[in-house]
Amino acid sequence: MFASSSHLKFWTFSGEAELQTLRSETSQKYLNQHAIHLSGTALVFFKRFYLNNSVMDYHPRDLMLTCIYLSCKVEEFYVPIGQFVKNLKGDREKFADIILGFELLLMQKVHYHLTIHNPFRALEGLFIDLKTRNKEIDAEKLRKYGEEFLDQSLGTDASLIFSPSQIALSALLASSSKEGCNLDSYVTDKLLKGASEADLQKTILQVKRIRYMVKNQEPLHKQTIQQIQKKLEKCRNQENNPESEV
Amino acid sequence: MDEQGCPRCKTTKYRNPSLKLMVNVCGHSLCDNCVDLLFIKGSGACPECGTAIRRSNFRYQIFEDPQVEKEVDIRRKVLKDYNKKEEDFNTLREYNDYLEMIETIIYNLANNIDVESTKKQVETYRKENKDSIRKNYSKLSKDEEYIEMLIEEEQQNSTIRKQMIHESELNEKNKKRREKEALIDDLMFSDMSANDILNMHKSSVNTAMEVESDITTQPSQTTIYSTGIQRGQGTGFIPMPVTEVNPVYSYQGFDLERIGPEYPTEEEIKLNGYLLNIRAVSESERGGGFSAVQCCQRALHDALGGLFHYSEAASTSVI
Repeated sequence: MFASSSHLKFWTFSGEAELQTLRSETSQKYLNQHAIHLSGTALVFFKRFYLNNSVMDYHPRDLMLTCIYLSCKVEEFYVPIGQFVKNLKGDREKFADIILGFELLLMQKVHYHLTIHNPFRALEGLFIDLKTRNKEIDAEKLRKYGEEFLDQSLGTDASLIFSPSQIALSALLASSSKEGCNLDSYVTDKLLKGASEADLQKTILQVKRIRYMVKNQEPLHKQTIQQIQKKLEKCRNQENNPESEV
Repeated sequence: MDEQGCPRCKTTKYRNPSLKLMVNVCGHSLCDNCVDLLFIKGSGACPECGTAIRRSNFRYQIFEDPQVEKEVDIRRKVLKDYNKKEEDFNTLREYNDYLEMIETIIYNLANNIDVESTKKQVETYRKENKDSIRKNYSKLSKDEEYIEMLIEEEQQNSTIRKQMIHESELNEKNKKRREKEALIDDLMFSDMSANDILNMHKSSVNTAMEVESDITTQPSQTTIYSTGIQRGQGTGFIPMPVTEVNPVYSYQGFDLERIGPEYPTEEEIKLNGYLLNIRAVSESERGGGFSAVQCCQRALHDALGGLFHYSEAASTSVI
């Protein structure tokens, strides 16, 4: 009865190549769904926290872990703490203690404003709009670099200054200029249709600023990072150091 | 005290819910069955302490602790002799000292402290103040007098009211009879048709009744209860239930703040083919109430909202 079974119909594949593509597709789907949103949210928490708190007071390594842990919760991708620290190297119990110890503090310091509007969905919305209203351009072509641009933007302060839709629009325009297709008419005639001249100019200016900001990020050198780290060990507030005896 | 029970037959309230404990002057309790049995002759010794007691002095125990019953007994006996009133003393201080003394005597007797000497003290007091005791016995204190007066007043008022009601009833009866007679007279001697006469009488009776109901005033109500509390007092404090009349709720649509271009409406999303460009909704997702329009709308709102965001301070900063 194998011939009519679900075994043949659904679970027998042509070869290893098909399995490989299936697996990578699955994992890619999963990553797209969560990973980007998570890192965006975590970085926004991190930046917001250090706006009003000093790195000398709270060590960035501790807060980084806490931000990621909290963003997992906020973005509805909950990972239990035991599993979370399994991905870390070093003393896992200590990390778990640190993360749980700082979690409530972090939430308090960001005033419990836990909803983060990431530019990723905005970019998705732009793609949908582009595909619907401007069929001449192959939108999928722009996706790769657009998402790359957003990833880069996470390293800047853009999320603290601009609206997510502006960042997404900048990503779209940066990608289109790289791919050599012109979206100006789409933006002015369709996307921003009905906007006043002043609004139009403002938006264009904002996009320019974002693109400049992302393009001109200063790359971080390992040496400088190490130097700062050493310095920080000397001048950090020992009261907030879980390892210190104070 | 865990369980009330008769010390003699060991019956408890739990085993016999209808158990009734009785207590005598010595302050020891017995159940009513044991009292019937032991004091069949009318008198005998208390099985606990051996005090000679009489059956007629047994009463039902009200308080759980028989010691309290004993004290109540003693208090009643002592107060029979020490019955001076506040008016018999010159100063409040003296009266308070007197009350203090009574309490001490009662306490001593109830707790078996210097019983003999205390009893002697009471005895001598009784002999010395024989006359005043007898005099005070029939005399009422001020408070009691006042209450007595109030009760009397109330009774008087109620008899007056009864009389008034009775009189008005009598009047009514007489009047009706007279009206009836007048009607019959009219019917016998008048030239008008019988129907007219009847109608006329009816209306005149009605008007008379209306007038009367206006005139009759309510008999004045008593203003004081026998307890001395003013009647009608405090009625001013009952808050009238205030019924707030709120305007009927009507829904008013709201404008979403956009800081950006217009959002496409749900219809536009459906008509203009936006849905062709997103992942199709699977059947199981649709079964759960999920619709593609919502998530499409959300993405578009995210894309369009905030596009015009601009803070003035930024204009001064240099790119």
